Amino acid sequence: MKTRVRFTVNGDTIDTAIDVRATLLDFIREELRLTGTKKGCDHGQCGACTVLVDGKRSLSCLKFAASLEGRAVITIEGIGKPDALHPLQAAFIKHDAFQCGFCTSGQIMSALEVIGDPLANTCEAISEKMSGNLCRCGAYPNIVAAIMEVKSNGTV
Amino acid sequence: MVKSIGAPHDRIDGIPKVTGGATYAADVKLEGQLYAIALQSTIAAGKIVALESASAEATPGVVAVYSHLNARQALTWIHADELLALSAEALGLSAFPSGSSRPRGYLPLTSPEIYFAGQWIAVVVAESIEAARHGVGRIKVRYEVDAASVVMNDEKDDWIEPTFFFGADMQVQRGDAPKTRHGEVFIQETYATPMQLHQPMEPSATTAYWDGDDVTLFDSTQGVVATREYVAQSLKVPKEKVRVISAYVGGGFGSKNQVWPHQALAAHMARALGRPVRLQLTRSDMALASGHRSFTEQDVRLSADRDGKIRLLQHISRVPTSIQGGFFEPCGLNSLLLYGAEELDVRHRVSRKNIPTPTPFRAPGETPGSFALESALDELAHTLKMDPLELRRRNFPSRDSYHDRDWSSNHLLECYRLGAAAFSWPGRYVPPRSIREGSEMVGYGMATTAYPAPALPATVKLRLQVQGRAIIETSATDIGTGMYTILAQTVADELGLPVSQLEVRLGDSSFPNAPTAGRSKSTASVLPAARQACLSLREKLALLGASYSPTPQSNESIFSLLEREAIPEVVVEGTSTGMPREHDLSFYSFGAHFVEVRVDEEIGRIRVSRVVSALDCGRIINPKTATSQIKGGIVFGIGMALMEQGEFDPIHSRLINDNLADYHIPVNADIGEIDVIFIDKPDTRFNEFGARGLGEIGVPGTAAAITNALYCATGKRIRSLPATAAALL
Repeated sequence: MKTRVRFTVNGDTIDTAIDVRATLLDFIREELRLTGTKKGCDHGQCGACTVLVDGKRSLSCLKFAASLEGRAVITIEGIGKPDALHPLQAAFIKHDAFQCGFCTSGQIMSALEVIGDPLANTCEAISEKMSGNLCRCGAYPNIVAAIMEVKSNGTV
Repeated sequence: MVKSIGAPHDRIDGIPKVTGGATYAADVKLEGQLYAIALQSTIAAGKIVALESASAEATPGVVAVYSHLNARQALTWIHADELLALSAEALGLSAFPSGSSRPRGYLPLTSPEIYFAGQWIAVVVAESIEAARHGVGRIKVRYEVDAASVVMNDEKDDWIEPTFFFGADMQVQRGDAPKTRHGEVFIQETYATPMQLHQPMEPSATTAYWDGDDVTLFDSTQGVVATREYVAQSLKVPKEKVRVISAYVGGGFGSKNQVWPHQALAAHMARALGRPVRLQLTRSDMALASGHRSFTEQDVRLSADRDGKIRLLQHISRVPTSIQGGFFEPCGLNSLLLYGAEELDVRHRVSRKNIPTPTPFRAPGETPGSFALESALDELAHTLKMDPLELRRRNFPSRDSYHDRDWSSNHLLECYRLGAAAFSWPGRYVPPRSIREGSEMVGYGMATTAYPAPALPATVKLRLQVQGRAIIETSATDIGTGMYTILAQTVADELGLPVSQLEVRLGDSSFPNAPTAGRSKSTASVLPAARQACLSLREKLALLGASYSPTPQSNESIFSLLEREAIPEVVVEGTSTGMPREHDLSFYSFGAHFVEVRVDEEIGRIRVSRVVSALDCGRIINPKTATSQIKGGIVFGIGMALMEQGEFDPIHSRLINDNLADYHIPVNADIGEIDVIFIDKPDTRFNEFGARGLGEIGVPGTAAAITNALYCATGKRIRSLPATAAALL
């Protein structure tokens, strides 16, 4: 069964009939072909599929795409471009905040919320608030360093 | 121009990875592509007596259902010895004494027999992920259940004594019959490590499509060449007809080191259906269909003089393998090499269990083995009331006594010295429970790590283009290691070009052969090949009438030379030899971990507050990516020490925690300060760069350093991992 839904993804209006069983993750990956958002577990346990929904970080594997009526979704592709990186993206490269890169989109989308969080001002607090995003390569200290740099430079 | 090798260089694959542009296997979607999802067995032993797929097949969007009932005919999916030999099932089988009971390896969908819970018994192919999932839920299966065993029993099990594995005899006895002499102190304990799951963030996936007789696989593997060979054998096509592409791999840690059936199955289904097929493992499949590190039990006996000189080392490991496979943890490897006891007794016993086939997992053998060995050394140090670091210094292995060879290079003592200094190691015996800070008990622990430095032949192709670009191609993969970057650094230095003018292309079996990214061998295999390619390039340019030497001024001339001679492109290849020829040396990396833990005993909370690791891995090509890799290894060690544990249901023998909510891996807040120090002394007898690999050496020893620190803090000795709050309370 399909249902008609209208919402935006990275500013583009989506107005289409969607399989009611499709998660937001599968919809943006398979239908919109925005594959920067990753499927790590499909159960809301790893954070690799994190996107912004109305400005808040959200696990796209736990949301039905059909439930997005009127919402605004931002994915990693809507953050920065190779020749115009978002400061967080540049900081992730500078601090080597990833190895295999598979969790990175989710980390950056999560970090976008954390850099705007007035309660996340110490490494410990950032570490805590980034703990929903798993990184098996173990880049955690570097992820915190990257976020700290963007926060302290106030470039966002 | 500043040398690139040895300088901290940002990853050159950074931009695609932070912008979502890096294409992993499941990111590929082709015209008409289908999606496949597998169904797992719910029983651990027995057989399928009925499998009803009609309602699954009738589900809208479902295109096909494959099981043992039809896969042979519909997919030409056949179990054969030649295929088994190339599979993950076969690794280790040759270590088992040949006899009538030699297992045949397991291949899903070839028989109704069930060997472990979670075994794939059917695969549904559909037009969408949603339809495939729906179809899987509508298959009905009836089983005949047999008794299963997933727990080792010292007395009741049929123990097998394997012979030769990982380059070492699995049954080694040196010196007299093990016994403790008058005046010696000894410890004798049993240590246990749990089943561990690799769980790389990217679930393995294969997207296969056919173009006439040629098949291309977008795959998630550490080794595209080995995968091509397996898939070609399975399809019964020449390997030239198979191309495997893994430009980006979302972590592997061993789970993608061997070749697993799904990689071929996707190609078989795509051939049968005439459409591209993507088969992606679920997170549960990652626990059950791509290997794991098995649980182990290890008896260690150490006997030493009063001054700490170890006379006897006995290390007997009891480890499982699967019913049909061969891999087992060779826990005793480091005990053969470290500490140089006159009397050595290192043995392995293996028992077959209803578990999936185990597979290499980041420092297989060394990791669980070093937990037992390095814990036992700490116990000995406490028995002697001696600084555990001093005990290790007194037993420094000045040569490899097992192989009766000198080390090519061994700076372990320097690791001890620099690590201890950076950590502010006490440098005296610290009795347990002697440091309290506020509500927390504080403890310090250390351990040695060691890992071999292998190398295999590799070939790198270099294409110099008149437009001012050099392209480097090899089939090696970058699974997060930094291979893209260090290859660029190497060629940049050899040709005197900036890294920005280089393009590195990896993970494609149509590129020249390179070994699988595993066992810390890629750096030493691939970089010398890249250098050879650069030398060939210079020779070729010389033939064109111009010699070329890399100087700051020559950047333009190398390309203007091509322009002048009207040559659009010069293509050369370079091949490395693998291990040095005619050597009589042992090539190893060494290191030492120093750990501080803080324990709140009221609630049993354990914090690894500080880790300093000093490592001798030869010359470091890129300190930035190398440091990250070692930190990652230490994070694995922290997970092993404190939380990771695959658990089986005692009645149904199913793996309970086949997901990332119940199988705990470290999260960001679990990780404190980690400092990595490299000795950075080149091992020039190993290769011209003096570089050894370092993907694994961060893991061995870390868990023992942590539990040793826990003993120092609390007086409680943890001999069975993980050290949870419950273990301390």
